[in-house]
Amino acid sequence: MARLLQGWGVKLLASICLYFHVHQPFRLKQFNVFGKRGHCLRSAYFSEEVNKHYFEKAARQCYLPANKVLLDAIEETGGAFKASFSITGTFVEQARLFVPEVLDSFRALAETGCVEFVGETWGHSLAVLYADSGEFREQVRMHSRMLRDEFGARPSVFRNTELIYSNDVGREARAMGFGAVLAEGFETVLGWRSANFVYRARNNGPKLLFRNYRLSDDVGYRFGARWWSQWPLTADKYASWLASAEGDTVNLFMDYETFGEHHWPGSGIFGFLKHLPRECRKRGLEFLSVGETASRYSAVDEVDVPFALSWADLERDVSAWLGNKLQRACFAELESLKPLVESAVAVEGGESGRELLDVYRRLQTSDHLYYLCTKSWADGDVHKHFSPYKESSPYENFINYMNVLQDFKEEVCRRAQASAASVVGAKSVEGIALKEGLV
Amino acid sequence: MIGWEFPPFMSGGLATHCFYLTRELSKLGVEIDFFMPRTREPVSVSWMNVIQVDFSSFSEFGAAAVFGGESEFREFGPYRDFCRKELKAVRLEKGVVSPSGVDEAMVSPAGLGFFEAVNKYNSLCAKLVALYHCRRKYDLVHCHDWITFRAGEAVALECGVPWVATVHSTEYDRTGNLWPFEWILGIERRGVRAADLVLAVSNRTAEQLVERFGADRRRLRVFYNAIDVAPFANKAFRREDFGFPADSKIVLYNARLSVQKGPEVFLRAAARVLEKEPRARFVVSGSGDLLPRLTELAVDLGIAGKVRFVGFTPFCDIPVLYAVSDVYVLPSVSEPFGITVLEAMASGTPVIVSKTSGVSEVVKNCLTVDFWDVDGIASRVLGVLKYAVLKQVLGEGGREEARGLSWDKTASDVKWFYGQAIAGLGGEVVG
Repeated sequence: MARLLQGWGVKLLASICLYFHVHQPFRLKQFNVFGKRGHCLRSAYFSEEVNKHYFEKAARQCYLPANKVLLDAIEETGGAFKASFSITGTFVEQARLFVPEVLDSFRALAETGCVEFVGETWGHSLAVLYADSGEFREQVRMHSRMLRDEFGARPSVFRNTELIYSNDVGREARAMGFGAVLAEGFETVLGWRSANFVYRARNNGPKLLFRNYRLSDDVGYRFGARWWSQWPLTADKYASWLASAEGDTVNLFMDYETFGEHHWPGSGIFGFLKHLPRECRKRGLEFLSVGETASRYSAVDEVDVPFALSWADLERDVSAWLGNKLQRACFAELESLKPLVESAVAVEGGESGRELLDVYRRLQTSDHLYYLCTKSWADGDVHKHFSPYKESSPYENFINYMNVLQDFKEEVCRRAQASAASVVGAKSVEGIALKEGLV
Repeated sequence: MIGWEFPPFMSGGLATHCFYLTRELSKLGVEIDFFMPRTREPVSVSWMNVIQVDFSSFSEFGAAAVFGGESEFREFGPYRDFCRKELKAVRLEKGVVSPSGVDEAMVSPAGLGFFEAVNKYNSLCAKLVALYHCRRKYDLVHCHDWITFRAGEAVALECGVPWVATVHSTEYDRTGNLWPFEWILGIERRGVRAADLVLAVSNRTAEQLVERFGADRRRLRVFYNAIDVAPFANKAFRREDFGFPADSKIVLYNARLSVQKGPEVFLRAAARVLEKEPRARFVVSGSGDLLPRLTELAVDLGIAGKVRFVGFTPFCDIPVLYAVSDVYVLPSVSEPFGITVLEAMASGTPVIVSKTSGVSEVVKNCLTVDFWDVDGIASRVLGVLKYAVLKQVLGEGGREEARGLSWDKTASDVKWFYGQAIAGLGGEVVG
């Protein structure tokens, strides 16, 4: 059959590119506008209790068991099984704070040499959409440093927050030395072209790997869905679909929390993950990491993406984060904070300056904007599912987020002025001392 | 249909509901005779017969014989003044002023107390409806709230027609769960158990009926109140015209001043808001037995200069009230529905409403809060006052949402329920 198809000029799939996104945001506290805020900004804005709760739960249900399954798969296949990860800075920081074993298990994966780490913004931010690219570049560099320090990895492939991609993102990534970028394989940009090939961005940009959203969502979204005609999905069945796909590579990109969080362990998702490598190899399919995929296959065409494309919601655009006025107001606030924070850090420096920067980065995490989404149709439920603030509406989330942003802004200005004043004060004291001949 | 109040004689949502429901039902081809107490000025509308029951000439003996003696109703606590104070004649249109003192004549004919009046009204109503039935051959009798339930039951029994009871609020709601009056609870309990079909204004109310009165779920239906947006559209007023500084921010309370509605929490939240936003001004619209206590509280909190008690606002002035306000707060302890929330939304005024309200089941474009959470209310008020974009989004979204909640939809739901009651489907689960 395969040969027959090949005779007709149809090329059957050669390799699979598995990529998992690992992220946890620093969720906000219900900020009390009446109380007196403590001096420590981190503990005033972010809820350690809530973040710890979510992280420990995810570590127990997903990160630790899933890492174990992957590690076993790598050992069992003698290193033939490959996977790629993007791990955000906020995730690593929380892992360090709450469950350090999670980092160890990722390090163990890194040491096998079969796992590739992908570059992105440190805090899962929308900085790429700012008018000035300075903040974006800083965050990407910061993330690369983090990957080097934690996992000894040097990323060569880039993925932007939520797979947000446009020609501009491609250009930025190229300028920062990335050879390939991940994107959503949506028809609006691909048209009749298949996502199962490697493409190139416009104007000799980086190579592009497009997510096969149907096959990815079969696992990420529909795996546990009893209304689905293909339920239950077995590794055997899924591998046979992959084997009959056409093209060079099938890019399966999904949230890592798919395993154990979105689909609870009782759904059989770990069994699926465990058996998938074996079933695929049985059918002659090879596993490649994102970097290997990009270098193995040459680009078949150039793809023009003039508008931002993402993997979220049915629209696949940035409306999940910037769809309504509340979101855009907060986003504008975030962007306008940049020069203020910079000047405060310049005068303050030291631990206090680092704190301001760190808080600023944590506040930029796109999840905060995601919780303000007011889309009322099917996607609204997805937003609700992922929101830690189940009790409150997007409007209440807006008030809280904006209260925090305003308080932070005041604090930044206050610190900048205080240190400027102290410099001036010191000088004037010096002046008086000079005049009185004391020095 | 047996009612109690009807515009222009009204104290709350019940009158508004009857007005719009009957109007839309008549458009759907439902013929209605509306029975209500006699008022000094006759009530008349084009779409139905309004039959006003004059129970002042009705013999006391008759009432006592039907529903028991009057002596047991001497003391009825918080309800004593309910009607005398509340059921005021109000102006529906500018320029048409109904004569004062109507309430007295209506509720206390021949110096009767409130409960005796209710008794007499029900008793006489039952007889009158039965009499009309001989000629008109009613298919169904529909009663609103406990105040008419006894008549409904009596009519149903005598004429053999199904009866539908709408529960707009329960005694638990009206008294803030604090001192429900046993006599009224008895009528409500009996009514919701006896009626062929019970309509509740929200899921919240329906649950209460099941839990507290043992209502039969199979004979219980939920519908939602609606809003006629026309009177609330396109009103723009300058706050200077009302004596507020141009840069002031106006926070509105518009509800009866009773424990049920939570005005105390409103004032305490006001004090918190003023700590952060000294330009805020608070308008308390409504009358009720808590007024003396609230004025005292405002003084004690040191905010008396920033709070304005404007008394009961007549229907025609309400759109002005919303239009001039920056945010409307309804911190009800227990609110079966809350039509005012829809009114504010139709005016494009952001709303903060307690989670314990029926209206929050249907609308999304409002802020919700726990009724006891003073700081929660205050921080939401501050949020709306401080962030113009939030005010805009809530205003636009609210207006849009209110437009979608029209009375014709509610009426067609109710008509559908009538059909079920007549077909005797009340006892079965109907999808």
